[in-house]
This record gives sequence, structure tokens and C-alpha cells, in this order.
Amino acid sequence: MTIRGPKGGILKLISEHHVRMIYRNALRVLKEVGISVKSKSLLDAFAKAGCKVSIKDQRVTIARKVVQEALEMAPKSVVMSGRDSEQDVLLEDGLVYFVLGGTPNAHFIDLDTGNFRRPTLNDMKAVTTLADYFDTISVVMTTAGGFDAPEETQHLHELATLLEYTSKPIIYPAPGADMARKALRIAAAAAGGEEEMKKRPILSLYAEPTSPLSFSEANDNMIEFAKAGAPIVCGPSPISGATAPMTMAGNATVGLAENLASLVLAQSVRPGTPFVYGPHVGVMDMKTARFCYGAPELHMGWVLQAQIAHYLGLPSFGQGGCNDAKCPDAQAGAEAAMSALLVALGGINLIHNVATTAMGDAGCLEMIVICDEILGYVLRILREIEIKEETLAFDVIKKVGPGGNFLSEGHTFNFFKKELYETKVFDRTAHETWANRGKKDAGEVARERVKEILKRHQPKPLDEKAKSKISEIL
Amino acid sequence: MLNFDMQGTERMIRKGLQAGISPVDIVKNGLTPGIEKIGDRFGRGEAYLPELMQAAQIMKAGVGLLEPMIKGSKSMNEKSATRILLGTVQGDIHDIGKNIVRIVLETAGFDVIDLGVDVSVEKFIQAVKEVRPAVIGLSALLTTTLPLMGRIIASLEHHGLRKSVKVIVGGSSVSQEYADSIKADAYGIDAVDGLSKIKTLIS
Repeated sequence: MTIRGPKGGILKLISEHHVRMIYRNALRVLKEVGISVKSKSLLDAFAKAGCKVSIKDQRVTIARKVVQEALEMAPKSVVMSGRDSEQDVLLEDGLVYFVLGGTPNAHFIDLDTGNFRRPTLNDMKAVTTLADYFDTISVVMTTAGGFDAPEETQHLHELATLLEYTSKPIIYPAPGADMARKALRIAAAAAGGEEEMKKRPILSLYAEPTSPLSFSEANDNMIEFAKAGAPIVCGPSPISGATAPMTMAGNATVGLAENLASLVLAQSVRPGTPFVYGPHVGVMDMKTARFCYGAPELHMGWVLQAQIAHYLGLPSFGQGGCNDAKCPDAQAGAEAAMSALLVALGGINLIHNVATTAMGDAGCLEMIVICDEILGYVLRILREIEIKEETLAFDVIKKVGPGGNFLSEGHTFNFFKKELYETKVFDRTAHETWANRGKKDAGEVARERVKEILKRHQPKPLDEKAKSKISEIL
Repeated sequence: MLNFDMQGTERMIRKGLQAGISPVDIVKNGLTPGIEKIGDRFGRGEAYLPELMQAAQIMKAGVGLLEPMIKGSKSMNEKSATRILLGTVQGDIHDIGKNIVRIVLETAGFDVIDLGVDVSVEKFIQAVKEVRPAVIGLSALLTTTLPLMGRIIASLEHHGLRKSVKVIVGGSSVSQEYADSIKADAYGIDAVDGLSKIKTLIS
């Protein structure tokens, strides 16, 4: 059974006329400026797709007609499969899902000391196990990394850990053709063979052209995933004022152009390749020159991208539930909540970087638990308000009458669990009760829950045959 | 310069020349203190990056205007300035961070040679032999390209060049721990930290 997320897409920041202006601007960039392509395979693929290719300048320009043909070939809805088919998700206009983390983080906030250190494969296991446990998380990337694995095959060891510790759909980077082929073989081993992987690809590629408008051999991975029929999520990071124009409309134009070029590439390799639209609208702090994950402009940018994806008729990928704080504090909670809610209301299908902390620099176990709570709120808010005779509740209003109360009514008993979201971490007790229980803040409660869940939750195991096949490939 | 006014600065340069102030004087006592002030303000978190960049553009334009009038000197501070070699390591084509470092260092009066992005170990070694820098700055954003930093340091040792240069590393995937593990001389958290670390390294 495929899961259908709640519907977002009710928040719009610009008119459809303005969306069309950004789209036309991106088409103009592709035609008049073009993209830089420093890869022989990509140049060949773009030529085959009908683009104008200058081998000498490593420059490709793309006509409107070629883009429009690619848009027609791309599926409007995409199923992302999990190792367990019960975990499959349907990406379709406005349906919202949350994704743990993103690409591996360079640091990890130690649960016991709060200190920043390098993440290990053990940390990968922990964050993946939590992602597997929480129903609010539908798709898994990471907030850790496997820095204790051999350098050359770090991404592959990380992928193997993901496949072992969750049965949910996985999106992961695999730069270059060789790495992509190995990642696909590892995923196929976990899926139960190449054929099974073709039918239900349990791994989607996180592909990243370099902004502005540059493609390199690292992006050859898109060719490999398109050939394999596995979904491609295209998430370049144009940063306003740095790798893109300072203005939101200019930034969105660059990300859109990069995505359209990638779409053309993917569809020319194999028409019908599942392609997910996902450019960041990056924001840099102009004093520290650091890329922000909690900035309000970023969340606005994702709402804009949701509108563009809707206009293109493509599934979308964005970001929320992340923060710039260095520990699970008030800043972390506020930024995670605002981004998750706004972007969900915008209707991005896959909202990634949930629980990513310290401006994309660190993973934090407590933040996964706190984000589960935040996402619980968000998913509740997205749920439709039912208006029908039973919910209008005239009968019970009449029965109780003026001055009575509804507490012992069957109507209350029947509906309270459905109507109300119950908190798990956030405290709703009296202050005396809170004090008697040790005056714990949300971070501390989360820390205890992390330990408790990791002790108890067993992800659906990967069979031994698959495991040994994966070790062989590694 | 302090108003980030390109045309205004050019106007004042011409006025100064008409008043008989020497071009060297204008650079030394006019433009340079201006950009240093902005560099300091940026270091203290009081100025913004685009302001620093704009000031660097003004400096470049001003020096460009005056240089032809200064006899026999291609670059006025070439001889005295400490030379720094910069580059993003092979496999990585991210250059924004490195470029910010370059501007901050240039603003502080260093002679910076930038090898660009995707720079191979061999190219670094060749450049060290040719330009004899006091410091090499290595940048990497991707975790996958980190190993290249260690290889460059090993290769410097192999070629007997390690003692002649200090190596500073930076980029969002680098850490002090990593810098120590590859025996780099310093790790710069950001451009401003990098500048102060380089000043310590060469003092």
C-alpha cells in the first residue's frame, strides 16, 4: 500500500503570472546564457537531447522546445519505494512528506557531552533508527555521516547503513558515474535484485549541479540513475548574492534553469525518468558568509519553488525542520517549526533537512525527537477540517443546551482523539508538576527519549543474503 | 571609499592629482587606510561582505588609475608583501569561500596568488616551486575531497618543500581535528579567522 501524505499547497506568495515570468526568464537564461558542462558524457547526452553544444567552450544552450518536450515526458506523479512496500510514498501535487536530514554532515553533536565531533557509522545507525521509528518521517537521508569508513567509499558505507537500518524510501548522493553504479548495485542487493530494483527503486539520487549553471563529471550520476529508471532529485544550491543574484526572483531563475537542464538530460537518457524538482533558494549571512538554514527568506523561497513545481507539473523537493543553532535550544525549535510549517503550507512534496542543525554543519539526535513533535503539529495543521452533519454537532448542542458541559458526552468521547494532537515532548502539565518531575526542558526530555527509542526500536531487518552481497560490493 | 562610492573616489583621486599630491601618496595614505578600515570593520562583524567586496573593487579601480603614473613599479607592494598561495583542492569546484579569503587577505595587504578550483596535487607543488609562497591556503567544501588536503601536505614533504611553507586549511567540511590529523599548521574557521591565523603563522 502506498502512503498518501496530507495536502499542502494552500499558501501562495506570488501570482501565477509572476511564476510564468520566472519560468520565461529561466528559458531565456538557458537559450542566451547556457550552462557550462565539463563532462564528455553529459555533453554527448545534451547533444542527443537536441541542445546546442559547443565542445570547445564546454557550453550548452537549450531551446524552449527541448525543455517543453522534456516536461511532457516527465511523470507528473512519482512513487518513492521503501525496502518495505508499506512505506512507499506517492509524490503528487501538494502532498506533503518529511525527510530526515540531507547529505552527510561534517559534524555531530554528541548526545552525552553536547560537543561537536566527527560523525561515525554508529551515529548513522542511530539517526537512521530514529527516522525509521517516527511516523512523521516518511523518507530518509541523514544527519550524520560515516567518517570512520574508508575515504573513497564513505558514501557507499553510509548508504549500506541506511538500507540496513530503515525500510523507508532513501534519497542519497552518489557523485560521479562510478559511485552511482555502485550505489545502484548496493540498492539492488537490498531490494532483492536488479529486476526488483527496476520495478520498485528503493534508492533515489540526490543530484547537485553547481550553481551558477555548472555541470561537472560528478553529475554523470544522473545518466546512471536515469538508465536504471530510479528517481532523480535535483537540488542545486544557488545562494543569493554569492552563486546567484541577490534577489529572490533572480535566485529562483538560476535554480529553475539548472533544474530544467537536468530534466532535459534525464528525459533524453530515458523518457519517463522520475524527476523531482528541488532547487534551494540559498541565503548567506552577509557578515559571516555562512549558508543559513533557518532564514525566513529561505522558507519563502521554498514556497515560491512549490508554486513553480506546481506550474511545471513536477513533484517537488524542499527544506524544513532545520536550524542554525548550535544546540537544541529556543532558536533551533523556532527555526525548525517555522520552516517546516511554512514549506508544508506551500505544498513541497518532500521536505528534507529535518533535524539538520548548525547551518547544515551538524547532526543532533535530540533535534530528531523535537522535530517529530514539530512535524506532529504541522501534519495536524495540514489535516482538513471536516464539515458535515456529525461534526457540526447540532444534536449534541441541543442535548446539552445552554449552560451545560460537553465533557461526558459520547460525541466528545468519539471525537477527542481525532480532533486533538497529543504532545509527546512539549510540556502541558502544571508548573508544580513540571517542577516535581525535575524541571526538565524540551532538550532534556528529548535526550531521554532518544536513549529510550534507540534501546527499544528494531528496524525491519535486512536479510542476511542481501547483507553479504552488499559487503561484497563494498 | 568609506561610503563605497566608486565615482566619488575616482573624483577625489583626480582632485588630489590636480592638487599635486603624488600617486604613491594617494595609494599609501588615501586608498590603503580606507580599505584597511573596512577590512577591520568586517573582521569585527560591523561591515557586510558585499561592502568589503565593493571596497576591494574601488581599491582595484583606484590603483588601476594611478599605477601607470608610478614609474618603474608594476605593483607597489609586490616586493614587501608576504606571498600566499590559495586554491580549492581537486574534485571540488566551489570557490566562493576561497574567493572571500582572497579578498580579505588582499585587503590586509598580502600578495595573493589564487590557483582557482579543482587544483591537483601536482599543480600545487609546481606553483610552490615557482612562486615560493610563505603560506599555502587549501580549501574544500565537499567531504569527499578532504583527503586531497592530506595528500598535498604529504607531497610537499616528499618534495622537501614542507619546511619552507606554512599550510592553512579551511572550508565547511574541515575541522581543527582534521587539520591536526594531516599535520596542517593551522585551520581557519572563516576568512577573518584565517587572516588572524596567517598573521600568527608568519610572525
